[in-house]
Amino acid sequence: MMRAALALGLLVLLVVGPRLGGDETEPLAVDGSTTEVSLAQALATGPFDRPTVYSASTPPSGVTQALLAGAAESGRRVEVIVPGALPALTVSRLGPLVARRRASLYVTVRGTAGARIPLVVDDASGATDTVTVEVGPSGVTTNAIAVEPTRAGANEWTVHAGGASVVAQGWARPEAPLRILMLSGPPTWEGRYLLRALEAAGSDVTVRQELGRERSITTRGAPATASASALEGYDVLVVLGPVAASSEASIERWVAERGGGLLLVGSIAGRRASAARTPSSAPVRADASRLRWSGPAELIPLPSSDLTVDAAALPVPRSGQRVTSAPTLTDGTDDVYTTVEWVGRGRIFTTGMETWPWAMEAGLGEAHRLYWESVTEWLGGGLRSDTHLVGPTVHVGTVWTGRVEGMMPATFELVGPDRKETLRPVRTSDGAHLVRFLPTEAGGYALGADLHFGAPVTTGHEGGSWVEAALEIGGAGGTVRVASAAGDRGGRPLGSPTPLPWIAFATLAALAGASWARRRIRGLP
Amino acid sequence: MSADVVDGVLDAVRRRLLIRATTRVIAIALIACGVVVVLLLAADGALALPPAVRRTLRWLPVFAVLAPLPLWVRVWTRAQPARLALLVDERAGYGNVLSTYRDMNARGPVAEAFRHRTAATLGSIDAAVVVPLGPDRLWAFAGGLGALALATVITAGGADTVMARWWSVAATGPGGSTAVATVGPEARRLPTLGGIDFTIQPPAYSGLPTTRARAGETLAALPGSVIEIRGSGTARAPGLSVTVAGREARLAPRPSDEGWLVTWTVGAEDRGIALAVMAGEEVLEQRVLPLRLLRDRPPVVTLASPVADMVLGTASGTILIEARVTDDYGVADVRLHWVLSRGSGESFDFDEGEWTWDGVDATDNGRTASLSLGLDTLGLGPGDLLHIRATATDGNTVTGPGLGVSGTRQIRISREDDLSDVTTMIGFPIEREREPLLSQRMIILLTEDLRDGRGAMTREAFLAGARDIAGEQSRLRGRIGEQIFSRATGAMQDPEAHLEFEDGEAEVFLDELEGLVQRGPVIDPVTGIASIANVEIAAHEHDSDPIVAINRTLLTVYNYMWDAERELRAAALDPSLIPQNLALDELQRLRESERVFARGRVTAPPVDVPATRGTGEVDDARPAPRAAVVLGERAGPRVASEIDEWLRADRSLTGRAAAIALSSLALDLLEADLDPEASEILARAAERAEAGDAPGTREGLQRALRLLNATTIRTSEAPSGAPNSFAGARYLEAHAARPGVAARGANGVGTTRPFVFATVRYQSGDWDSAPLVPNNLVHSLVQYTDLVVAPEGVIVDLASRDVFDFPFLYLTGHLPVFFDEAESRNLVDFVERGGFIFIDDHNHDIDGAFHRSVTAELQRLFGSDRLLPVPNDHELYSSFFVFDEGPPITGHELSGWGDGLIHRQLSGIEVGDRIGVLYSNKDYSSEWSYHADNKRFLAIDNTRFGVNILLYALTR
Repeated sequence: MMRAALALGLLVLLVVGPRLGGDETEPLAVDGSTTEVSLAQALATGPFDRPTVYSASTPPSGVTQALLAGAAESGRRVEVIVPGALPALTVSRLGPLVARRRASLYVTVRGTAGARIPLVVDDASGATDTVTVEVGPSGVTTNAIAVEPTRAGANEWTVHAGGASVVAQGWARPEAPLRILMLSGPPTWEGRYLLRALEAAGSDVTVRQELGRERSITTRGAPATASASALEGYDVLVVLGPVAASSEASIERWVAERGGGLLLVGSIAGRRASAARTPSSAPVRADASRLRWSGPAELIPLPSSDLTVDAAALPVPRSGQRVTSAPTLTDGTDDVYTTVEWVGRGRIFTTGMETWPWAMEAGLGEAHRLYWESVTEWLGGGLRSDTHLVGPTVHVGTVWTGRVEGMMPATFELVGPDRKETLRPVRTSDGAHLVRFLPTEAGGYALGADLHFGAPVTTGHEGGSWVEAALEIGGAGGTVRVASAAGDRGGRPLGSPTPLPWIAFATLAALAGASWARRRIRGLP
Repeated sequence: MSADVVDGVLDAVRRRLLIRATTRVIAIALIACGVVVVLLLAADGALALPPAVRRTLRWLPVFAVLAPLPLWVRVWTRAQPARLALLVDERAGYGNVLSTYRDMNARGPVAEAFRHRTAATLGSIDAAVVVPLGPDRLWAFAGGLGALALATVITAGGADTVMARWWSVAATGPGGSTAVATVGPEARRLPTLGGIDFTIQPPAYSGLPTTRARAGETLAALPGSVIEIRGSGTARAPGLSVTVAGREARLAPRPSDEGWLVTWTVGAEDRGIALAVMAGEEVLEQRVLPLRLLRDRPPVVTLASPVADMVLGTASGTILIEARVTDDYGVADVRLHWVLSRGSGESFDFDEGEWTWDGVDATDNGRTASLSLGLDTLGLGPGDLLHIRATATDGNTVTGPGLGVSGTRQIRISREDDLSDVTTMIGFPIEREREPLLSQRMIILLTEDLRDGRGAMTREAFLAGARDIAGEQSRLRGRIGEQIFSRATGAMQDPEAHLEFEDGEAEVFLDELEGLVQRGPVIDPVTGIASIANVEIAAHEHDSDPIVAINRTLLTVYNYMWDAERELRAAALDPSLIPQNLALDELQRLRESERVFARGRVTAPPVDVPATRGTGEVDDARPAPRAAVVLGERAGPRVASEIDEWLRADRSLTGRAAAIALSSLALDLLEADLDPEASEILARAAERAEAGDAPGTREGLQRALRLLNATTIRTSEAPSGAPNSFAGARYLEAHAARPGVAARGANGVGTTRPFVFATVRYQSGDWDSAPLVPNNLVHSLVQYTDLVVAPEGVIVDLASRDVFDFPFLYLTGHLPVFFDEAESRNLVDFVERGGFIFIDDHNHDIDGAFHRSVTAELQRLFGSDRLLPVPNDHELYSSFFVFDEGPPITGHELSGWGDGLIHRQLSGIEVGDRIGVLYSNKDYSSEWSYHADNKRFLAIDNTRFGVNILLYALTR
């Protein structure tokens, strides 16, 4: 009788057990307690169409956010439940700051579709500028605004739009010239004027110009090839003409993994040539007065001029999981002469248009210098830092806790409206490093490592991780929902705390064991 | 009674004792104070004590004065009757009678007697003997020390200066280097600049009236203006410092009825003036007055007559020469300059001089001058070339006189056979060809003559005449065919040979061309540039056959001539005139565009790039490392940072300290010759700070900052999908596969125009004296390097915007060079914008016409001190091949031809730290003037230095 009951129980467990692990159609719930490993495992092994919902009072960590965005981009249904309402104005910033080097603020304005909203930007010195942005049909517009940190340490900008104001802060490393390596084929006027512009901009330029016949003109110390070790010492690599095939891999890694900036002048990326459409290798004469510029706000376009210049249409690399790209310069038709790309941690600027006539023929040497200076500064803004700090929005009176990721500086310097102090990261039991402080006054707070140490750690306090997460995951194909109440959840949390099948199995096993022991004691077979 | 007497004596002594103690204490205090003052001033003079130390030590003299006070107190407290009695006893010499008398307790007759005698004695005690009050050595010492202290103070700049330096020290300026004065009760006693106004008296030549203005208004003046700056303050020299920004000059202020006065004669490089009240090294007050320097432009001279160059059949008759001159401040002189050239080839004689105008009339803004030139009196002969140009000077006696020059008109007396040229050249006569051709114009004239004279001719004579003309037309057509053949095939054209097409050859030639096209393009293995028969594919004419495209005009001419010839052979004169005239029009157009200079001279064929590539010996080529570019201090960013600091920091924007600091920033901008507008705004902000206007100061600082930052906040729509967060970028980092960023494939698409050797054509002189040099150097460049090079050079007008398409220019000639206004403007712009021009004296005569005129023109355009020798270790001599001893010697120098000198150095005009104008009087134009194929006969290629020049231009 007992055996029969046990056998029946095992049979039932076999049939029902898997169902006790959760419904495969039920949303995969993720929150702040979900480990990154379990999430990655669930995404990798679970049913593809199972929806994933992130809901918590704190924003996801960097890795969780990346995993969710990746899932959304690959077609999974991902939903982010943001507590409270999305702010009408958010400001975020990308990349490390360096004093007196241009950078971008990404300003997102929400409002009535079609509304034109003046955007006022103040820096701490009081210099103010105003631009007007138009809200798109979706009720949101994101614009990049170029700003320039005027000094090392904490810098602050205040953005006003539609009655809302947001303070964005950043920590700028001390002013330093860009370290540029220029590898050039045989000299050209474009290369010569580009080099002059970069030198006039104060960059530290190392040059190797191949003359042919194994002869070259070089700056002392210029590397012979663009090897990985050689590139480590530079912020930007300028390539005029073809690149040695042996250097391709190291350049790729340097850009994508080390945050290097690559400027391709007069060259077309071979592998990308077939990505979008066949490039026109024959240069055409472009009317400079018809050129249309776009792209990163840091770029200072060449002014419109009555010039005709040589230009070749470039293929626009397809944006995707690996690369985000955008045309920067068109001539009013479909032809694109300049493109920008965000590749991994680094950036690429490709141009097929000569610019020296601006300096020579139009006499706009200063504009030509500013253009190339801005291009290389943008390229130098890749993520070369190994230390990041993520955390929620700062609220007065609430202890702010941020998680340090990457290399760990010994101390952080906190600069806020009320104080300046040194913080030490705290190591938690799970190995994470946290930084905490109590904001006591409204205003901008910036955290940076020791300036002399030079580790570029930055954070902005407003439009913090929630907005970033929403933008990124939403932008990758996920949906963003504003929670009606705290704790709104979309399903059972990942990693159920009660493993019912195992409990049932253990119970049955215990019963079987007890039954066997009883029989042995009684001498039964 | 005796007791009263004793008390009286003691009181008198006590009084005198206190008086004496007081005077001695005063003397000691003065001595101590003097010693301290002398020591402090000496220490400050020797060590320049920092303000903080001075702030502490300045109290020492006070302590020194107070130090003897305890002495006086001690005397006062110890001047008790018993002690006084002892003193009297001691000083008066009576033994201890007084002390005994006061304390005596004895009674009896002896005691009475003692009292009686003592009372008598007391009456004779003189307090002045006990305590003398006269001057003593202490006062003498105090007096001597006082004199020493006074001398020290005077040596240190006077009491005012010493007081200001020691009692007004308070703060340090924002830059950390400028100590400034406190603003407090003491400040009111300090010397000040007071209100400032100025009177500007322009130079007399300008004829402008004297103007007055006050500080704060824009200060604008011509160089040479005398500006009288007056202040109502109490500052005086030497404490009042007046410095001119832009040149390290100090002006001497002098007292005036109202305050002070300084006279400033504005120099051409002045950028403003800084007024400062100094106390030693301390700045008590400072004002900066930026200057807007007005420029006096040179006169504009135009030759209204003759309007163009002329070729005269005979040197007779009269030519009207008329010049018009305008100037912004008046014309002082108008002259007419002439140069007469005679000769040919490498042998020329020059004569020059000036003619007097028949009349010069004043106009509203200048003058007109005219001369009727009688040619008969000049003794001109066939082939002579007369250069005429008008010059004018203005009355600028300060930076001038400004010199304006007109364009040069050339008047050539034709030779007998000039009109037989293909096109009649304006300019120096070229060497005659052995078999002169009739020009198209002559053929037309012959045809018209034959047509008009037909009625008086027999039919045979008419037909024979038509055949003769057809023959001439055929020969001319053959020459055009040569041009096409040379350009299209790259075949070396023998300068001594004269090729002619016979009947039917033209068709064969065109067939050959067609065949070349059919065989397809030749690809340069290095550059990848396709060429067909060495003719570069013109990018903008890619829609047509390259040979046809590049020779379209010549082929058209050729076809017209062929049509004309056919009609002539059929004796159809009127029908033949139509294509003849069309051919003439095309030739004229061709000459004007000058893409092909079809005038019958030897021309170099395009370089066969694929065949030539890499054939040069480069064992000796060792390009030197590229010199690092050293930039000077960038004052703009520093000043911007300091302004930013002022705006951010919780620092008072008003008061004298702020005013001095801000005016120092304005001065820094002026000294660095940066944004004068920002400097002016900063100077006004300083004035507002002085006036206590904080909002006004802040506004000024913000405006200046915006100007200096030179960037405005710019917005752009963020590209779709652009990572807008750290996390996004990290995601990409973590998940990016190899993106494929390598650049390969097409080489230099869109940004690699081939290097084009451009020869400058200028209005005066013989710009085309070395037509073989361009292709010879192009040939060398292709031989030794992998540069993308156009197979042949171009000719560009210096007066046209086309020069800016070619950052390398080559200019040469034998004859005088005078740049007209457009040429002058373009040349200056070309060099300032980064262009490189190589000017070579083809004449090579000592003080020859080219050398003298072109160096004078360069000095006129760029300044008399800009053309400097290029050191022989300049990187120009190691940019590819290494020339240890500077410029290589030319054959003409060795042979002693020309001036018979070996010029050891070239000259150059630098822009920044790079050569913009390279001038040679070594006659490389002769040295390199040969067909490139003949290079193989040279042991060492003498064009290697040309390669260095070209590479320097391309890489620096």
